Amino acid sequence: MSKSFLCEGQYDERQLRERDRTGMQTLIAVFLAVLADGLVREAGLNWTSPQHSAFLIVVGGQSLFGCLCALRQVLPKHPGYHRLFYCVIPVFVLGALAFFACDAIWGNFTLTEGGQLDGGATLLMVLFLGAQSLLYRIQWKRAQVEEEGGEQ
Amino acid sequence: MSGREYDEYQLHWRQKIAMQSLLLTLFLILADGIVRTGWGEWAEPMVEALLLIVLPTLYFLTLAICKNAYFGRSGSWLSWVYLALGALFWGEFLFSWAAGRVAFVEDGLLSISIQPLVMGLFFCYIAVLGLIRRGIERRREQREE
Repeated sequence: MSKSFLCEGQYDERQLRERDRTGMQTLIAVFLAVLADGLVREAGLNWTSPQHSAFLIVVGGQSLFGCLCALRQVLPKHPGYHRLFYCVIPVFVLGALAFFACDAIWGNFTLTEGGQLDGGATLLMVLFLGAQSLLYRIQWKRAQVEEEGGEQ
Repeated sequence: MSGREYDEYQLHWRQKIAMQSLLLTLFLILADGIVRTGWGEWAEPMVEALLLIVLPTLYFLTLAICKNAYFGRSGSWLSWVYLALGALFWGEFLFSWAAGRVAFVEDGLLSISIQPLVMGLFFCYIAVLGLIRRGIERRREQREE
């Protein structure tokens, strides 16, 4: 297996095991989501456009993986990853929420259109990312406190 | 997943391969979303879901069987079950074919009528791969004895 996939130095042994275990659980959840989406659309209930459903499953799956990893204290040491989830994504989420709020005030934001999730799908994706980065921040701060407590 | 069913080595590989399969699944769903955005629908919803599940599962099973991490302690009979399931699906496909109910493409979309063919190929592939792996293992054990 390649070194880049193993992310050598990013995780310790426990974290690597937990990451892979979480991957297996997320894979099952994503399969169930794909199957449920297929069944619902086959039944004629187009709850969102096909494009939105695909992107929702991808973002949802990634966020579920990120949330479970954060809850299990699987936080990679790479500063780029840290910056992304600690600063960049929260800023992006807040910006997107502010944009949606302004859009709603001006009357352009449509949660659903023709019985399908429209802006609501994008809002859900943003919320998934927000939940992931929020959990990451909480767990990272907790890890820092534990580390400082251990040193003292 | 039972901890007693698989040893440490098997669990390690299963989880590692599952992680890769997850990345592959997310990539396939994303590619599917992009294709649907750019060129429109290409398959009926259930066929699409079936392929999005079957392809990463094939990847997972192929690697897990090759790494000897698929069959647990009580799973030696599984290949025969898969073979029987494969034969059943092939039978269903052949009957549908003979009755003229199989259409690969309907209204420009990949049709759900190919589902038995996909499932038949899937189960036969796993069964054959499992049997080959088991044969190799048995030969190795005989040589060691």
